[in-house]
Amino acid sequence: MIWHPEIAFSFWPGPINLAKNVFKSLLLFNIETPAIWHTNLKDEPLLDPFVGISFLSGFIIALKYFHSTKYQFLILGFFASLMPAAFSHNYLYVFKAVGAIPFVFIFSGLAIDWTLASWAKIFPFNKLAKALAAIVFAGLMTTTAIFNIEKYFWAWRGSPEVYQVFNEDLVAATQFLNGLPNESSKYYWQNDRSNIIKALETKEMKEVSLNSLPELKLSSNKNTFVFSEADKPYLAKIQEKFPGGDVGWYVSPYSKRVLFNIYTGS
Amino acid sequence: MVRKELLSVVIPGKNQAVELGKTIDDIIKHVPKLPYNVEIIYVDGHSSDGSVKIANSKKNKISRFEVFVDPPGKGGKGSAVKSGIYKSKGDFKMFMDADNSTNFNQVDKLLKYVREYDIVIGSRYTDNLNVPTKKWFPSFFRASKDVIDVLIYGHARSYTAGLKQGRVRQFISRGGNLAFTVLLGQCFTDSRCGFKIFSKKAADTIFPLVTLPGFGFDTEVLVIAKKYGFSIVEVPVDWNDEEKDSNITVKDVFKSFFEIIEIQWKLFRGYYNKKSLKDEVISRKKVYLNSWIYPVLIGLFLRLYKIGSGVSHDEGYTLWLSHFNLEDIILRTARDVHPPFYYMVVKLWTFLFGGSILAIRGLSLVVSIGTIYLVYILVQKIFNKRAAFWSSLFAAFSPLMIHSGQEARMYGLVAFLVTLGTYFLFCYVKDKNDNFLLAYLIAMILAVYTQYYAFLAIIVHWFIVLAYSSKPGIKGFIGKLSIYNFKWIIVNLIIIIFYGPWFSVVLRQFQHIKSDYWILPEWMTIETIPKSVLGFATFNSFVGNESNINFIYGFS
Repeated sequence: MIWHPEIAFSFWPGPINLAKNVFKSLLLFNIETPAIWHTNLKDEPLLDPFVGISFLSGFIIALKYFHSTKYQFLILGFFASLMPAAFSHNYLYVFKAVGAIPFVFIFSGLAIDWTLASWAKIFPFNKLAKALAAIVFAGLMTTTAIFNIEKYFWAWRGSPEVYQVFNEDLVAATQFLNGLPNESSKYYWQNDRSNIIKALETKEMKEVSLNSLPELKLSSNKNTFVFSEADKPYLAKIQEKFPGGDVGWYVSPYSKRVLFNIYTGS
Repeated sequence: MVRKELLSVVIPGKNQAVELGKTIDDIIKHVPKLPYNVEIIYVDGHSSDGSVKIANSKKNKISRFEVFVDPPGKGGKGSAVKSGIYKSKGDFKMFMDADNSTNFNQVDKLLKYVREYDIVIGSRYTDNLNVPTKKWFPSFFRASKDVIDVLIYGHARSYTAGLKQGRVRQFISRGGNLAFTVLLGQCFTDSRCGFKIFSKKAADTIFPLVTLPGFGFDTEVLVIAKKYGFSIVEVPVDWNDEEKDSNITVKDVFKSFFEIIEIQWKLFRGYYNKKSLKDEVISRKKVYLNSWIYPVLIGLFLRLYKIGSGVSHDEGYTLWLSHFNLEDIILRTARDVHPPFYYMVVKLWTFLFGGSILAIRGLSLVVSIGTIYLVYILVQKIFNKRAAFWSSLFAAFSPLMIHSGQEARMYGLVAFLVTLGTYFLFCYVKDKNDNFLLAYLIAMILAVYTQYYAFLAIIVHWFIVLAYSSKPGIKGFIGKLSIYNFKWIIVNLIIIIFYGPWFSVVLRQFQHIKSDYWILPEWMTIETIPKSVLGFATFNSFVGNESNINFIYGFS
């Protein structure tokens, strides 16, 4: 294999692009994420307001004490971990910022620690002040917990877009085929995502493509084909080769769109 | 008038009433011959034979004599000695057994060396003064020889006791010493002899850090002493053992072995890092307040909830790849865009827990929980417990981290390994213990074989080493190339060497992905600069477009 040295330089986007990408990556935490649903609600920031403000405060505290080695480590570590995102030019830069997340939480934790320590200095040995601080931060943490659980488990995971991202059509199609009786022959149309079906199948299924279709012979039992909505045009090819079957479809309970089509024949 | 220095004698005891009385009498008899004032502190472990009564009856014979009963719920010699040392006020602090195995008059032999050494310990297995050095192999040889001696002669040839222990007890004693030498790197002939003197500074440093309540505390004390560089000497003493065979059970032997493991683990985890007695009291009170257990349990619960639903395209790839053998996994991964370690771990994981999507996500769950814990101990090591608690709590609730803990992909594992490597590196630069550097090496080799982003962590790690060098900064690092810096360079070279077999694959993968992933050189032309500046203002010129997302999606 010949590896041209130019490739090494192709990763360098130039100072302007790098600067703006770093800036854009920084916005992930408190302002906006890309318009995709893979890891977060579209356009929403990664952090909730409490953690987001804590993160910024912790970052400022780290800057204030930058002469200390441990804070230098935090800031440098944070920016180094952002580099994959900063060098990315596609929607997936949010994935590539994942290395910076632990640093974000450390900054946030530092801010809380600093605030509580400062509070204790203002009201030393005052039990009421201590209890008040504990109640306030426990309340904020509870709010954050409810916010994040609601956001992740219901708002994000419950959205039709996320079901789509997580291959709702193929998961449902595989479950459908797995649920058919053993004596029934099962087929699915091959596409670039068929590995999902292969991975989830618990019963024998056959992959069908334009190349394999001419050689395909149906069994004497019931035969069931599934096609994702994108592969629907190929349904006609099957109908042409094996006429007389029934056509059906499966609708998503979340997005109400057709997930896959079913062709059954004997 | 010159003040006489005070020697504190701590005697732990339980149900040894008869021997205890004689032991105290012997001490009181010998005190006038010493150039020290002496205080006696007897700590009783809830005896039922009247030991406390006997000890109290001797109080009027010496001016400084206190009797304590160890608090309920605490047990063992270690706990009693620790309590006694806390209460003692001496310039030198010693402890001895209540059964008079070593007569108190033997203290003369030890006191000769208290100005020269921080810790002076009696030994039953040497005729000469022994200064434990870092020469491990001679110690290993001597400890092995003792075990062989016991098998042949019934006791070690170096054993100087008048009345000797039986063969079984000798075997356990010498076998234990060999285990200490091998597993803890100790070079003592008799680490568990119950006759030891400490300087005040050594006692005040070591005993707040002692954690084992039972007989294992002796070993722990010496491990902590070695960590803090206290000078130690072993002095031969006359010792009388019971001739009868021991009633030590197999359970005791195993307990002793596990205590060695526990000590090594605590050493590794930094439990023995310096803290004052006051700090310890405070940390005991707050142990439940800022504990790691809350973030870990919350994290576990949130990651288990709804872990089984949906499968992303990339997870499908993971599942599919797990059906192949290890060789095929490596070959097929080479044609993809990631290194193979995660998929190899998944393969091994499926042997244990099955190949379902739920089982494979279990791996991500475990490493995600591990990462929360690592965040805690890392922040605790660098900053403090409260900052550690909040940081790990945020990590437990983070949707992004919950997601990586529920997804059958390598991101959770690489985060775990990098955090683990960072933790080990911090331990190394602070404690200068080579074991941490070796642990770092293993963690980072696995990390770079899991995800390429791990190389960026090594850049950060270089900064840590530069900053924490004896003379910080690059000039300091190069100008004063200490053995620690040299070892660090060697470790980096080893990582590169280990990566050698995969390097040609990396080059091919980079060629494959460069047009799909990274900003291309054309972006740098003069014509694109105004557009880029405008894009900067509107935040939308460099995030790709909808048309390429499905294509790229398959490789994330």
